[in-house]
Amino acid sequence: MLVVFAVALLIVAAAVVILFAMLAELATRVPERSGPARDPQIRPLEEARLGHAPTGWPAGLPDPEHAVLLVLSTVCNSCRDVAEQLVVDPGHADWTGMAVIVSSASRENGEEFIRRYRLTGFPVHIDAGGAWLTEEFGVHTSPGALVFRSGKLISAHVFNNVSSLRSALETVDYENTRQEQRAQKEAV
Amino acid sequence: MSTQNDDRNGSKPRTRLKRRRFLGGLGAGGLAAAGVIFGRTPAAYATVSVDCCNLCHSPSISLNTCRGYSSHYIWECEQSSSVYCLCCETAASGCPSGVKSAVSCYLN
Amino acid sequence: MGPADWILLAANALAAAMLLTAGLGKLVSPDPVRRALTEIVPGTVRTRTVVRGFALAETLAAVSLLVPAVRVPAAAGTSALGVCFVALGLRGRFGRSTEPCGCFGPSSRRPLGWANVGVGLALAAVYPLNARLAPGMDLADYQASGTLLTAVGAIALCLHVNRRLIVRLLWPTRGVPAGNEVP
Repeated sequence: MLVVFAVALLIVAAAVVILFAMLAELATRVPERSGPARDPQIRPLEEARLGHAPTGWPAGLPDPEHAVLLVLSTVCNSCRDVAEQLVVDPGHADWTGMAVIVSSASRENGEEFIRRYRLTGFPVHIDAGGAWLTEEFGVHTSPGALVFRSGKLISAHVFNNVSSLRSALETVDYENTRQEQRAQKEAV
Repeated sequence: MSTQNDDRNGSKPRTRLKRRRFLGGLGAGGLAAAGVIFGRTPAAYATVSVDCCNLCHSPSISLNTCRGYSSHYIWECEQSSSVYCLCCETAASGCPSGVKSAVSCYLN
Repeated sequence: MGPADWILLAANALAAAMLLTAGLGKLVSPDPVRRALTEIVPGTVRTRTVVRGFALAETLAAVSLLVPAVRVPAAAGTSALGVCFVALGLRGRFGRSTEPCGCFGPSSRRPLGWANVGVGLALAAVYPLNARLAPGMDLADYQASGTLLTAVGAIALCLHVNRRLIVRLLWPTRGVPAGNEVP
């Protein structure tokens, strides 16, 4: 009799396991609520020290002559979506001069973030405690973008949409290049 | 389930009691063993979303209290175009059970 | 009934609970495992059928461990599965796998690594234990006790694996109005 009861309980347990597996499968198809939607607007990051030339530059990052640093943080919800945009949706592996700075409480947290969101294909620097970003540039907000030209921070932005950011920066670069060409012509 | 020296109820009362204690002990031991095998160091990754912050645990302290911890980490995120939130955690590494969090949002 | 019987019963029940939970989870949702395996061993696991076949083997081994007549062969199968898990865990760890393994269903988000090696080693020890020991209790008692323990263990493991889902369902995230601090 006890064997029958035990087998019945095992069948119930199996049913519970299957039910949870189905729920979990459904849950993977429903996106978790996260930060703001991919707002295409790019806003200035007002706290940044524009014009500052960094005294230290982490190894492995693109040359500050022409670089864009995307600032992500492990405590920032929309940074997860930004990471996904960089890697797969739509993916920006072809963005020359771009690197990712991950601000986190510790190096371990940063490494976990990079591993979890598969950022290993990009130049990445972990800023433990956010010390470098805060001390050099006065930046402590994410997702942020720091634009360097000729070794100096020339602009800083808050963004949620990587494609919009990239388009905006390319437009600014294009306009700056045209202005320089015009100025050279006038000088001649 | 029967033994050779069954009473009218099918088994000795002492045997039934022993079996009950035995199963109870095994169940507890089995669960403990499962906890040891499957117990893992706490995920070094936050799991609670509060506004634009992604934290280890739900906020339980004030921002000033969080700042008072020597190993705290504080960062800001954009909740919307006009609202920013400061996300603070007290631990230096990982998401151990003692980590406390704080969130403070403000209009920009 | 001595300590050896306790150990044998507990070990078999625990192994059966693990295999049952893992097998049923993979049967329902084979895609995460398929992706994880494809990441570390590209080109080998193309179809869900292969993963479901493996899941069936796990489930069968779990149930068979509880049947006294086939306990020892089932233990051999369990140990073989354990060795597979060790190999996959090592491959995942040193291959720096990032894809969630789905080893216990879609809620298993950890990539293949040391946890799988640990579980594999535990399962690999089941055959030596069963080959060395035999239940000193009545076989019907063994079957009933083992089945009960397995059922409880499977439910407990299922709840543990799906704890984040449970929290997400029971306590949906809430917002904090601008300007408010937790006192």
